[in-house]
Amino acid sequence: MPAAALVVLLTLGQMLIAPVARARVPDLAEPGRLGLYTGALSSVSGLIVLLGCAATGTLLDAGLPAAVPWLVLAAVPVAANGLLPRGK
Amino acid sequence: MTTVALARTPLSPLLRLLILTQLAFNIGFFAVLPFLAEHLADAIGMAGWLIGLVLGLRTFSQQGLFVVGGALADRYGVRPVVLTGCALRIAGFGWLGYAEEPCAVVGAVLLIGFAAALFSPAVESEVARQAVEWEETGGGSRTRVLALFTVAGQVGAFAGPLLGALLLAVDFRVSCLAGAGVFVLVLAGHAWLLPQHIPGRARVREKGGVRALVHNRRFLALCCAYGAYLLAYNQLYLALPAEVERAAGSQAPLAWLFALSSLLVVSAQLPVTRWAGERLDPRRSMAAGLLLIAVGFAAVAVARPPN
Repeated sequence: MPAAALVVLLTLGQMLIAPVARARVPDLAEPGRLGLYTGALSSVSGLIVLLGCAATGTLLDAGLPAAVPWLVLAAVPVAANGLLPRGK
Repeated sequence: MTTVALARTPLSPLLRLLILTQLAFNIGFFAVLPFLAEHLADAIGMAGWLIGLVLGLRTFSQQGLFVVGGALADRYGVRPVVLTGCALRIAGFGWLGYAEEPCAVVGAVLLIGFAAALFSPAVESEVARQAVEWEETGGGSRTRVLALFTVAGQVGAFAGPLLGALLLAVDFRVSCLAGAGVFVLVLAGHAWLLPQHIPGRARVREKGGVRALVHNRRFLALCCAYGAYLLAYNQLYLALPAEVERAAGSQAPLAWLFALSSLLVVSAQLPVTRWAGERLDPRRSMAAGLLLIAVGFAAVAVARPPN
């Protein structure tokens, strides 16, 4: 069932992303401002989720061919990958 | 057991306290949250749109204000912010348990959300800082400490609803009070064990960190990548239910898929982090994660019959 494959791949992706992302924050934060940066990681990504979920909801209700919303959802992490900072 | 598996150098008592705190946070929170919508509908008699609004406001007052809570932790230190957050969460759960008017319920829910905006970034940032110190003193990779932190959170998110469902058999108020009780324990633990001033954590009195932050392109890129993952994860609640219903005829398998996800994190997070840490730098690890997620969505797109 594709839904099960999605859940497994999503969870594997989460395991590769979440702890590493948190581990990088101390390298990117200004001295003494780790709380601000840690909070901002949650707040900014929360804002992305809010806007993204509104967009996804519209997409799912738009009556497009069934595969389209899923292809758009697949494109989002690919695009985000292009934004990742280079270097260590 | 997990600490032994993590490394030969044991984690500091402070790190252990913070990791256990994450476990307790999620047990207390998820003992109540999954049952909130039903309580609002059945006991309080709220309309569906209003429930959606309340839950959205809860997320906003929590996630959206993390940045404020984090800045307060930089300014006043971790201890006062965590203790205040726990006290507010206890008050919020107590209030929610007894609130009967819609206004009071909304107030309680916002207070519960705001409480997390105080304690979570304080705890998360201190864990990250301690993990870096642990790495620098030869303990091992900081990512593994944060992986353990993630696992603790996941165990809590899994155990919380089970506890809540048991207590709900008695009463919603009892689940709220149990949630409050967990936070009383966390408050007591931190009041007793969290130092007034944590060595190495500088305090910044002056404002103005936000300007540098919004110009920090590397940090904003990290936020985008993390946001893309979180957005994908939220599809478990948004896009996946309809897909499961289409493929299986009901949404019943959804609960099993959530359980599968939790179980995978609990059992495989530490090995995956160890495996990736030996082979991939942080950037490649995140890139691999994002690509796996993309493949997952593409698989659903390919498998879907045109309708």
